[in-house]
Amino acid sequence: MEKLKSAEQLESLRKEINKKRDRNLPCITVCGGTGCHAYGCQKVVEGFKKEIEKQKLENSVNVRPTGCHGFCERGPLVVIYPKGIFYQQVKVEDIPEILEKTIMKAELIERLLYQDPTTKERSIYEEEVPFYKKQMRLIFGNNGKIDPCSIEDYIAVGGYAALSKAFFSMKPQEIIGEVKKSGLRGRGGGGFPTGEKWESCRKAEGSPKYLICNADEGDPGAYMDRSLLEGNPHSVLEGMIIGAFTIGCHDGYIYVRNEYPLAVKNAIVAIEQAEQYGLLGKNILGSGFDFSIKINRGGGAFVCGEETALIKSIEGDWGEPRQRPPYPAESGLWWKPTVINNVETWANVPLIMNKGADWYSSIGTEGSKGTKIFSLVGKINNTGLVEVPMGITFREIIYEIGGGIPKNRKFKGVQTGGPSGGCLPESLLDLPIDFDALIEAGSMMGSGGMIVMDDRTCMVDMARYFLAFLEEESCGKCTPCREGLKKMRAILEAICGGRGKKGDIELLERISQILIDGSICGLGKTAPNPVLTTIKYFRDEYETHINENKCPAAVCKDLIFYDINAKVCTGCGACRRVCLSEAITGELKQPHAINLKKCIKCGACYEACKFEAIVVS
Amino acid sequence: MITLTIDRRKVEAEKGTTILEIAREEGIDIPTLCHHEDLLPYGACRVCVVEITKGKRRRIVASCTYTVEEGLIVETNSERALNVRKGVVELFLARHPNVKVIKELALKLGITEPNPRFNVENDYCILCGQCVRACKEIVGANAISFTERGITRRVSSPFSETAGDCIACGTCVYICPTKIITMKDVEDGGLVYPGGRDSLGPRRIVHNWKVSLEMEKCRICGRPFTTKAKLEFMRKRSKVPIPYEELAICPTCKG
Repeated sequence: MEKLKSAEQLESLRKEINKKRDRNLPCITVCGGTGCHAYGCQKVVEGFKKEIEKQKLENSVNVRPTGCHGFCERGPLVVIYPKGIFYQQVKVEDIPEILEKTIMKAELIERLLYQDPTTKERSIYEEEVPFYKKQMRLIFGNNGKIDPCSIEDYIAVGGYAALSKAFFSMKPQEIIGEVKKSGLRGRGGGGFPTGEKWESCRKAEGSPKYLICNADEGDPGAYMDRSLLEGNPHSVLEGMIIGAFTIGCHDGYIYVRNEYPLAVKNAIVAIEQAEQYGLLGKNILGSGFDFSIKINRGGGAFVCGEETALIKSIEGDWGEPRQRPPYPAESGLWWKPTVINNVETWANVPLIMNKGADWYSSIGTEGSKGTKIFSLVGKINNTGLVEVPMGITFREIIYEIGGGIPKNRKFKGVQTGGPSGGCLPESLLDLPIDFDALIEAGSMMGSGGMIVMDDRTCMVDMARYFLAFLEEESCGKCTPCREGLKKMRAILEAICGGRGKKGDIELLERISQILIDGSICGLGKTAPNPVLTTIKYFRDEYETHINENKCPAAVCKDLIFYDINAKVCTGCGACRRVCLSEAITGELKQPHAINLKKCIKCGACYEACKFEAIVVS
Repeated sequence: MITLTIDRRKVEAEKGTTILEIAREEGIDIPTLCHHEDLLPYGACRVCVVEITKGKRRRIVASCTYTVEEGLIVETNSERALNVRKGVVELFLARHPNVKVIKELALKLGITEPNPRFNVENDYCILCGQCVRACKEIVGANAISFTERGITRRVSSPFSETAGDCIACGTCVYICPTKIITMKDVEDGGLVYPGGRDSLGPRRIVHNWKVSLEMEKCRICGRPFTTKAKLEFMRKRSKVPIPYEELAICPTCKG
C-alpha cells in the first residue's frame, strides 16, 4: 500500500473500497468482544468459514469477525447484513442451518431470534431488541460493523474523514473552540472539560509536548474502554491524531494494561496499518505534520489509571501519584506539557469534528454532553455494554435496557463509578445521570461501571468488599490511604462479623474525611465513597448489624443461621442435593431439616430452593 | 516576587518556593515526617497539610510540595487541616506506637495513646522514604527501593537479597528518623561454617540491606576507615580524575 498523500487520495480510496464492496451481498458479522470470546465466538467464525468453503459459497456471502456489540448476556451474537438480522446464542451446530435457511432462502430461524422474557415477542432486527432500542450508539455503533483489524473497513464507514477535515480546513485554535463548544468532558472519571485541558496544554511552555491515551481501565466489572480499543481502535487513533495536531505534539502513548491481550494486539495492528496508509508517522496525509504512537503496556496496577501515577509508570518509575498542581497539561511526562485523556474521550473527538459541536451539544444535559458507555453488570437480566445519552435515568437503564433484575427480585442499590464510586438507593432511580448529579448524590461517573444489586446484597458487606479491593490496590505512598483504608476495612470486617461497636459509624465517617482531605490522588480521595454512601442511604443496615447482631440481607455469615420452614417445604430434595456438607436430611416429599452443626452457611440451599422454604435468621 | 497570605500575615516569596519553606522562614511551625531539607519534596506522610483558599475553592494540600501562588491564602492550623494532621498521626501511632518521633509528634498534638478501636501493631519503619530518596538523590547509588504496595509496602534491597549497588556509605543510616537502619564495622568479618572459619579481614556490614563490604585501610595511618566500594564509586563519579591512592586517606589524616 502506498502512503496517502492528500485528503483527496483518502476520499478516492474510500470510494474505491465502497465500489469494490457489493452492498447487497450478505455479510455475516460475528461479535468478537471479550464476552463473546468467552462463549466461543472464535469457533463460530471458523465454523462459518469452513461451512462456506464446503458449500462453495465464497462468492455469495462474506464472514466478518467484529468488535463488541455490547449484549454480552446473549453471546455469541451474529448479525446478518444487509438486513441486520439479529441472532443470539449461536452455536457451531446452528451454522449449516443459518447458511441454508437465512442466507440461501431468506428464511428466519425462530429459535435464534431474541425473545423478550416478559412479552414473549421475538425481535428480528438488532435495533428492535429492547436492549438496543433505548440506546444511542454513537461511539459504539461502528463496533459491530467493522473488522477491528481492517483499516479499510473503518475507512469504508467514513473513518479518518474527521482527521482530514481537522487538518485541512481548521486551525488548531478552531478545533479547541469546537471541542470546548461541544461541552465534551473527560470520560475517565474526573469529567474535566477536554477543550480546556487541550488549550492549557497548547499554551503551556515547554517542548516537546506529549499525548497519552489512558487505557488502564481497572475497575472490577467495567470493560467499555477495553471493548472500544478491541473493537474500533482506529476511532481512538483518529481522536489522538486530531488532539496531537491541535496541541502541537509529535509523540503519543497508549497506556494499556497487559491483561487486555486483544486490546493490545488490535491497537498494535491498527497503528501499523495507519502508518502504512500514511495516517500516522511522518507527513500525515501530506500535511507536513508528524505524529507517532507507542504502546506502553501496564502491569495491571489500579492506581496507574490515575494520571500522575500513569505518567510515572511510563517514565519507568514506580506507579505512584504525585501532588497536582502542576497538572500534567503544564508539567506531565518527563515534566513536559502532556495531554492525557481516556479511550472513550478520544473516540468522541472524530464524532465532534464530523458532525459539529452544535449537533453534539444538543445531546445530553446542561453540564454533560454527548453519550456515555456504561457497563451494566451485577444482578441484571441483560448484562452488557450500553451507550446512552447523558441525562437518562437509572430506571430506564436498569428496567428498559437492562430488562430488570433476575427472578423479579427487588432492586436495592446501584454502585456507579467503580469501587471508589458510590452506592445509590431506590429513591434515586429517577435521577438523570450526568457528572454533576452523580457527584451531588455522593457517587461519581468514574469510568462508567454500573453494578446493580438486589435485596440479597448486604450493603455493609458490599462496602467491605470494595474497600478491601482498594486497600490492596493502594500504592501505599501516602499515609491516609495506606493506613486509613486498612483501619476502615478492619472496622467493617468487625461489623460484618458481629463485633461492631457503638461509635463505629462515626469513626468510619471521621477516617473517611481524613482520606478525602489528606490523600494525594483520586484513589484515596474517592476511596471512602462506597462507605459514605452506604452509611448515608442504608444507615439502618449498619445499625442492625451493630445493635442487633443481625444481617438483614442474610449475607454476613457470622450473623446468620439457615433453617427450613417445614410448612412451606415440599420435600423436593433440591436443597439436599446441593448441600456440600451433607447438613440437610429428610425423606422425599417430607419436610427437610438442617443440622446446624454441619452447616457451613454457604447459602447453596437458599439459592436452590424454589419455594422460599429456606429461611435465614 | 509573589505575595500571599499565611496565617493572616502578608508575605512575599520567590516563585517556586513551597508553602512549607516560606512558613518556616516566617517562624510558623508546621510538623513534618517525610520532609528533609536536602531531598526533593515528596509529600507522602501528609502531616504537613495546610488549608489553602484559591479563589472560591478551599482545599487541603501538603505544604511541602505545594508551591506558592499569587494571592494564595494559607491557614496552617485551620480546623480542617488540624483534623487531617491529627488523624494521620493517630493512624501512625496505631502502627508505630514505639517510635520516638511518632510519639513526640502525637504528644504535641494532644494524642496520648492509640485509638482503642484500632488494632495496634508494632512496626518501626514509618515509610517516609528518606533512605530511598537519599540513596537516589544525594548518593546516586540507587541501591534500595520501595517494594510491594499498599499496606505491605516496605523498603528493601532488590529482591530482598544483598543490595549489589550499596557502597555502605551510611547515608541511609544517618538520615533515618526512626534509627532502624543499622550499620557496623567489624575487625574481622569471617565466614563461619561447620568445621571452620574463613577470615575476610575488616568489613562494614549494613544489616538491613544484607551487605558486607571490604574496608580500605588509610594509606597514612593504616586504619580501616571506609569501604573500597565507596572509594571506587567516588573515583568513578568524580568529574576530575583523582587517583584512588589519594582518595584512600582517612579524614583524620587529611586534616
